[in-house]
Amino acid sequence: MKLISSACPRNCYSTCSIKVRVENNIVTGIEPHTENLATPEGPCIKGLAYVERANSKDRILYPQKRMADGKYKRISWDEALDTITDQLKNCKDKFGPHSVLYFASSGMSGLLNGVSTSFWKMFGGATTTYGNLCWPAGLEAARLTMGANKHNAPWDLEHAKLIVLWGKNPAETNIQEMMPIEKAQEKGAQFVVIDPRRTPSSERANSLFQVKSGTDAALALGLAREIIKNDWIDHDFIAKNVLGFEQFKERVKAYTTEKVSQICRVSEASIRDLAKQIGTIKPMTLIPGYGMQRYENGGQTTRCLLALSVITGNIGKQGACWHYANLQSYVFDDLKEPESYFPGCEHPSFRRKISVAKLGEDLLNIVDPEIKMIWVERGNPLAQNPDTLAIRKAFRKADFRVVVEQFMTDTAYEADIILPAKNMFEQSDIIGSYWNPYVQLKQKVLEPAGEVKPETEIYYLLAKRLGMDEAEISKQIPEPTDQAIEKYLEAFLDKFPELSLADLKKGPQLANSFEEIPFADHKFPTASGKIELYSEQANTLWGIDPLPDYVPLPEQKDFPLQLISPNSKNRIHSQFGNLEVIKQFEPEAYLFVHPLDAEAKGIANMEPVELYNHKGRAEVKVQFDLGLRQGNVVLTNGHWAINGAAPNLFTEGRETDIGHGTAFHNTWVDIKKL
Amino acid sequence: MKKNSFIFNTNKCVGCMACVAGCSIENSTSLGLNWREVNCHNKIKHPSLPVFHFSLACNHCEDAPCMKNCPALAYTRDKETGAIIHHAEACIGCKYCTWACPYDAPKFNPSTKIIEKCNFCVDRISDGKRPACVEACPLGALSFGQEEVNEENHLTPGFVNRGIKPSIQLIPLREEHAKPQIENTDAVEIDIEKLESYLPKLKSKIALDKEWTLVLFTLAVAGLVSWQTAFLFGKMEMPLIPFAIISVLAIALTSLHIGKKLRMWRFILNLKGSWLSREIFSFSAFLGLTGLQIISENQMIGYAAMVFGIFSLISVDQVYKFLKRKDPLPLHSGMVSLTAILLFAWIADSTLLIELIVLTKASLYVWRKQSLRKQKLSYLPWVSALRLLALFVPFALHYIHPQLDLGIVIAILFLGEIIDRSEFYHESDIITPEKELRIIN
Repeated sequence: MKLISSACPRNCYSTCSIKVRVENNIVTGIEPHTENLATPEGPCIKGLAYVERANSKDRILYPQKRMADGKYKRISWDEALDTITDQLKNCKDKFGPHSVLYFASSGMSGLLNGVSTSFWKMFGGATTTYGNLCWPAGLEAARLTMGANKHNAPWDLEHAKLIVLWGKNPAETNIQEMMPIEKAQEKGAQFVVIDPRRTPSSERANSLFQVKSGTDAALALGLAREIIKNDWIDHDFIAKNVLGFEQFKERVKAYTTEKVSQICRVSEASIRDLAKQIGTIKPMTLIPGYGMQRYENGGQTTRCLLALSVITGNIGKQGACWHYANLQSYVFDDLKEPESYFPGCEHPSFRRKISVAKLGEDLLNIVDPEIKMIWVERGNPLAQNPDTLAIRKAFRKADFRVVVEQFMTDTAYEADIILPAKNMFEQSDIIGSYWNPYVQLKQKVLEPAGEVKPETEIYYLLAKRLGMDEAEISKQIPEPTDQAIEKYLEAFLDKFPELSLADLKKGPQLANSFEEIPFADHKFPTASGKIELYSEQANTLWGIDPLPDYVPLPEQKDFPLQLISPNSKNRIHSQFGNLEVIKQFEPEAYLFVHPLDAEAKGIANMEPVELYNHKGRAEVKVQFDLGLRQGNVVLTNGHWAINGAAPNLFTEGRETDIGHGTAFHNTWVDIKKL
Repeated sequence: MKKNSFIFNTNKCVGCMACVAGCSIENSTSLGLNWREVNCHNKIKHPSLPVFHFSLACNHCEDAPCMKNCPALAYTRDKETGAIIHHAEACIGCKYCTWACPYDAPKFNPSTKIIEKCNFCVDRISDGKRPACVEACPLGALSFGQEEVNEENHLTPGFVNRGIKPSIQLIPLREEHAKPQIENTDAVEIDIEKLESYLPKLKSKIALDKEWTLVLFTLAVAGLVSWQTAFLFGKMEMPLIPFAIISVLAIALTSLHIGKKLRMWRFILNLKGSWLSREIFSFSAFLGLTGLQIISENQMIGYAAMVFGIFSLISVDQVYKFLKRKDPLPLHSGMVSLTAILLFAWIADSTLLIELIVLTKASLYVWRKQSLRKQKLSYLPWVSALRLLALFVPFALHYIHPQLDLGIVIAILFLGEIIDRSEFYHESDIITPEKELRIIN
């Protein structure tokens, strides 16, 4: 038996360090890795589920080709690569390299993903996507305001005396964060949650502000007005560090408690009480989630929230920070998020980009050249990007599709050729985290199963077949050996003498640039060098008000129920939901509905209903949930449409106000009895 | 005294299920047959009640009812660790431990036809490691150690406390979380009665469709014992062939109820502790001795058989003592001892005994139904009427038409007894952590 240090490379806050138990070349257990101070007790249920995921009989282990009857048949790597090579050559010769869409998403993080980009550059470019499905509106809001996205180390949270958790549900999405919250509470901290839903996280709170979804900005501005009115602001901090406070003070005047109470549907007394807490209890850590910025008004909403941390001086102190995203461990990136999401920031060969939020629509509309071939890796756009039906139509409009996958996902079923993807145990790679500050090695612990080849090897073989320049290949694409992969990774480490592959193999490491409490020096890399409540750039870049403001969501007439699709503890986006260990707890998708909304339509608990809007329809079982606001329904993110209901059957391709994010929650639906 | 214990902190658990998965991976349990379960209080999230979880497996109780009641001696306690160990090779799959344990720890596996349960990860803890569930908990909500555990650790609302000294410390929800404070000006009051209508119906662990063989078996015991007693006192004939046929059928009925039929002999290994062992042993002895009595025509053997018969009736009623009934009464009109007295009274044609037993059974029955009605539970009035008729019609006939054929009377009485006994199973259940937690008022 071997116990090997590794880390979970999923698109998740926690990025747990783990120890992988390997017996006879089989993963038999996942154990905690105590050296990671943010995840000392080990991973969540998904981390444990790797034992099944790695050994699943459903895993794709050989190249597959779709036959005329729609079924898939095993083919040889030679046949698969020859077919793909012919298609690539044909596309490039006849329509130019931009007739190929290269689509990659966040299925597996790591520096080796850069090899994919290098290949497509060498190919002469390809059409790619800009923007991001997850968090850019919030990132951009924080970047415009403070210049960078970083926050105190996760374990610093226990020093807070007031924790405001706004639209985040760490109990399901960042489970280890509940530990410092509990520690802070044991020491007497107040814990407030603001969320349209009652969640497992809000159960731990002293109070839950169940605001109307999409109105968070109004609440923040109302709180700011109370705080300013009662002179609970940090005058010294504002005078030294803040640009635009006077204008902001003017802006919030309109947001009286009476008006805010009407908009957000919480009582005036409770708003005044919350303002007093935020204004008078120090230090405060404000933890906004990513869900709240997945509305059309998400960027402005985030700016309004951040203003509360700014005017009370809760930045850059022990127990006080704006706890949104901590990009400190992304030390190898030349260009950090969110700027790396913006079109035109990359290599000229990728200048032709389409919006990730509007993938279906843009793919259908793009001309000169049209998209003839689609390559998908590390992603499941048919489940995860908005407007599934448009994406499916666009995929079927293309002539040829390749999907690199471990399982038969919604997207894999669209492929002409499926290439078996590596899992996290089959190739080493270096990963960062957007919550904890560690640089980590996701370590190879066993040889790839079946005929699985890592993407780096697939690209290596394709590059050779396409006759690309040998010198360029050896410079850009590592040879398919473990030594070559390590050498590739070591090249990144050269600039960081404190980080070595040998140390990373033992456990998580901190880069020298790590700050336990960032912004403690009050240096903000904005244009003015100050925290910009008033941001000129917000206006010039995005055309929004230079000041934070509440922008109401559009009035709805056709469909009365607002669908929110938060993440569940059982999946990371569309991963893990197919595993038996997970399915025993969530065998199918459920639509959570307030009983009074259901009863109005004569619908009983656990009854199947039709869920529909102008974008799609599906049948789904209703589950009663008294923890919802009436008028909100919930279908958790990441279900596969091949199994029935999935949220993106109902979402529209729409970007957020700033940052090229995706406004998933701007979605309204209706239900009816079957 | 310190002992190995689980420590569960209600303030830290968020119901993530990692402990359940960690256990199932370590112990390679079948899917859906989890040794550890996480139960949720107020899953539907009624605004005036907190939502919290208990993660429970076997609590390795000091007074372990599974071990005490197992007829086949399939449970032992590991001296070093205190773990209650279930031995697959000794288990007959009678499922009696699943009734005896209030924590729902023993699980019947339909594919192996025997019980399995948490073993405290005895190999791991002997090696100084933590149990797999504890290792898997990402929040430290479930931990393990040498602890001083006392009654106070088990007084948390929603936790089954039966005084059997479970090896678990339960840290209750902090006062500030006991009543949620939720701000929402659109909230509508939902009263608890309405709430009850929203909740999915919980399955009863004892259901009539599964237990009908037990209805017939227990009534067969009552019938045979009363018949033998009447025969002993010269009130009725008992030919060998019909007696043998009914005996074989009764044994066949019990065997239907156990997973490992070839190990049936193990049923009688725990005469010291298990009423089920006593029941099977005394009933078997009763059958054997009665057979001998018929063949040898020896009265003394007949008396011995009767003693075993009466003891088997007491044992049957004792077997069911820890079921939870919907009525609060100590006696149930469907108890087999009462059925046996009723049948004997009629066969022996003792008017005084008939009057006494009919009155007793009828009052117990009506008393119970009244109690169900008061609790607004379904009490099946039509069935009740039929049941009472099956008691009073023979009683009336006894006076109006004393010459009526005994066979007809017994048939009518038996119909009533089947109804009463069936209702006994229908109205009984086993306490489980899930039910205890479902809703607290």
